[in-house]
Amino acid sequence: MSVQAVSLPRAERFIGHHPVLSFAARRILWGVLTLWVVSIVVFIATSVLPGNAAKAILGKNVNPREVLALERELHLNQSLWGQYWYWMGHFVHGDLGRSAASILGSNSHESVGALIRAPLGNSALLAGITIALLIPLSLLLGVLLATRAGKWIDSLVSTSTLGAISLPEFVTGSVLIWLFASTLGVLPAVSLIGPGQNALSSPKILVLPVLTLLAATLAQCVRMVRAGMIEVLRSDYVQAARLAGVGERRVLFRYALRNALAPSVQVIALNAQWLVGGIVVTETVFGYPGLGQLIVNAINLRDIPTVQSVAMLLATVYIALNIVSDLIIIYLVPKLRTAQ
Amino acid sequence: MSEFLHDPLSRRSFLAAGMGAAASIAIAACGGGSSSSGTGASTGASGGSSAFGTAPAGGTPVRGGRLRIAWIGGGSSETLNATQACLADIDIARAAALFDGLVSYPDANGNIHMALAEEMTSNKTATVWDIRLRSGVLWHDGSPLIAEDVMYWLNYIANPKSGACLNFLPNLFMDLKGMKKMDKLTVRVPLTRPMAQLPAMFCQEGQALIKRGTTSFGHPIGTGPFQFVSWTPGQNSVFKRNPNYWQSGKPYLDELEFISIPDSTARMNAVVTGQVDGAAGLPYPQAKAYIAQGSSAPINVLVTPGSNEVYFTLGTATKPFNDVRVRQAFKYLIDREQMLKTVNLGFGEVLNDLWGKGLTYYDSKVPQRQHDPEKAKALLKQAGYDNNLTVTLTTAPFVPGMVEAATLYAQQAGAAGVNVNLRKVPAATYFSQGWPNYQFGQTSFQAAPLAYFYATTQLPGAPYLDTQWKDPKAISLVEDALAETNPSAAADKWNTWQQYDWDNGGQVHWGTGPYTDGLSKKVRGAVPIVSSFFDFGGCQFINYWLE
Repeated sequence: MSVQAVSLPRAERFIGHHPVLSFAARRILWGVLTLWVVSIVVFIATSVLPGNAAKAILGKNVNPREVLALERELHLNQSLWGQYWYWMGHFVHGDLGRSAASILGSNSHESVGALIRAPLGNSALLAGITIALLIPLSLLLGVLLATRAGKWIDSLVSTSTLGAISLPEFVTGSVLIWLFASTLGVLPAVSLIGPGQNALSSPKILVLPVLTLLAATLAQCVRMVRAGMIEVLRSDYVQAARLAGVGERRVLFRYALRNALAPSVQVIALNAQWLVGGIVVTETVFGYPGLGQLIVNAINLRDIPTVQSVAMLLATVYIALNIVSDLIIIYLVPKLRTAQ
Repeated sequence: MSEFLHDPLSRRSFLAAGMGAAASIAIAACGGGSSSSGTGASTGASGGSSAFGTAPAGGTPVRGGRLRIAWIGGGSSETLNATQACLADIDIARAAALFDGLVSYPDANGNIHMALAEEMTSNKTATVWDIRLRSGVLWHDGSPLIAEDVMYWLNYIANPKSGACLNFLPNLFMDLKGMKKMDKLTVRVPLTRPMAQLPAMFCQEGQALIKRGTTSFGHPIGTGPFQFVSWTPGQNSVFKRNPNYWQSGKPYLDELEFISIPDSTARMNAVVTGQVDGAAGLPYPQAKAYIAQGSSAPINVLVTPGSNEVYFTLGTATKPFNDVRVRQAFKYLIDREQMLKTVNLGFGEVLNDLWGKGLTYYDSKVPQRQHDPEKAKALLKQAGYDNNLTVTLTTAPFVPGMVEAATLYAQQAGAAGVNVNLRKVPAATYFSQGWPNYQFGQTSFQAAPLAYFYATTQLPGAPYLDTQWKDPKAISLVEDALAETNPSAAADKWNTWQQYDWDNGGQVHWGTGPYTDGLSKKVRGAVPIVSSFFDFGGCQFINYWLE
């Protein structure tokens, strides 16, 4: 019997030779499509909000001529499709438009890009530090609890992280403020950034918000790592490695953890994605000048261009995190690379 | 109700007429047609140790230091354009630090003191006014204040594209084309209608005088006690002392910093833990608690009395309020004491359906209307409604306490057989989707002299016609009072108008609410309250010092 070499079309050969790359390409394509749908939803959602930016900004001092002038500036007098394409066209070129709320003031039409730069950086810093601490903490704690499953330390850590996650962030934040700021006086109650400074100038202001965010996210990640580890530690190859005399630490981190990580990566990514929106409450409690404060203000002021651009930005980050976490999992679990 | 969600918008103040406060600013006497015979008003917050809270009075000023004040902030709507500073509190405070107006904000008795204008005089019929500026005043860039500045400013704010708060003022009352420079410091302004109290009309937010030729506000140049240093929109701004300020010896502070903290709890935490020296807009429950603690509280509470309030508006052009008996009935339906106790936690004073208690020309002889549901029911029956009246009250959390007041009023009306449906709309759309044509609504108003209030709420074409009232008799009574140059004749005319308004008008003024602010214990100079206009006694940081 002879095996005939089948000549595959080029695309399929490419996919066969570069599974990860083609997987990434496919996910990115879907991501862009999703973003486009999101843009339409965001646009429609902000259009049906009662009242337009022009009237909301002028408030009680509504002068019909001023309203008309402002509406023309914001392109509110065009049809919905017209407005959408105008906005989308500029957005894909990196021009996020002009902030409606700042259009009246100071004669300098603040571009949304300039407006969100600093708050974006601040929020990214806060989220970044949280994730940077979340990953090693959840891995270490998860491994620790898995190896001592059922003992007192397992119950203690599990219960306390569960307690922390059940409290809303404004409660956790308030308790931390009361403890460290009011009573002990070692940390500031409000995370203010002084004039001319940035968030890193006084790192003390980051401590309590990061602790609050960790409290809200740690439990899930620890439990996931713990559960995955427990299962893997029971498997045959781990037993085999132990019997072969491999050191316990090597068994844990080289063999077991890597295989236990796949579901954990997903949970950590989920929590990182949650941070994208969940950071709002924490920023509010601590008065931290980040994206959360910006977008809530923008919604109140009906600053539609800012709301739309920030919403799209957050959606992009969310989807990107998704793709990255999937790629990490594929890296960790080689057999997924060829499975379809 | 989350304060955080609506605070960034315009917050009209709550002020109760307080004790007569001696103005500690030595300003030249009032000139022109403004009267200074203030009627001393009664005390402010009940349940407080004094009308001004726990902030200490007196002491010798100490020079230097940086005062940091936390405000609600306005996010991306914050602006350095002082002519538009009537939305976010922090913008108003910045304008007050960087700029002056022709006159200052009303004091605790509603009197107007001259500021950049040394004297304002009119002809016999109050149709032409001469504004003479104070000499020797310098702008922050060193150039002198001259007549051209006033002329430029009036033309600037009259332009509809400027978005100026006082845009209506020159357009409704002045003939700018006939405006003439008389000499280096004097401007002659002809009016389109007689206005015996023109200085009162400048007595509001947005009154900042800008320098001739100003087109942008990136680095504002004013005449105010502080000069601009830096601004990060939505976060903070810094100002430094103006060494050439026309009130010599002031301000005492070297620097002033304003910080935006939208969440009221975070703002309060900041002042309690000492991160800032003052927090505007302390919620009433916290203010009451700290006042009760007296000297063991971590901060002092400053209570600024005045005449700001949230009042109800009955749409006089809409059924059923087109019937005067129904309007009167609704004024008897309201239990004012209960409103003050429940909505304001005891802060403030009961009002008598008239604006401006304690201010000049206020008619204190009109008997206080009492809560009388029986009389209300009788009036409604006469009008043809026998326990079957249903109205819709449109409300929004535009200002703290607005929705609570509406809810309580609806309950009180329900107890008298009137069904009030509450319609809550978002704060951002309250004034732009239907106001002032609501059948039954609410509005808020800052402290303002009577002339300003009635001119802007009653005259045709004015910006705040909140009750749809188009009664020719009412309009002519207001116009007569505004045109009367003789003070005692004017008092009579104002009384006549107020009696007519009390009987027939559509505004239900039930009570005032003071501003309550938190101050660190090392801040001095907050008392006596100089102005009833706004937080911190009218943003009188010019008088503050740090121990």
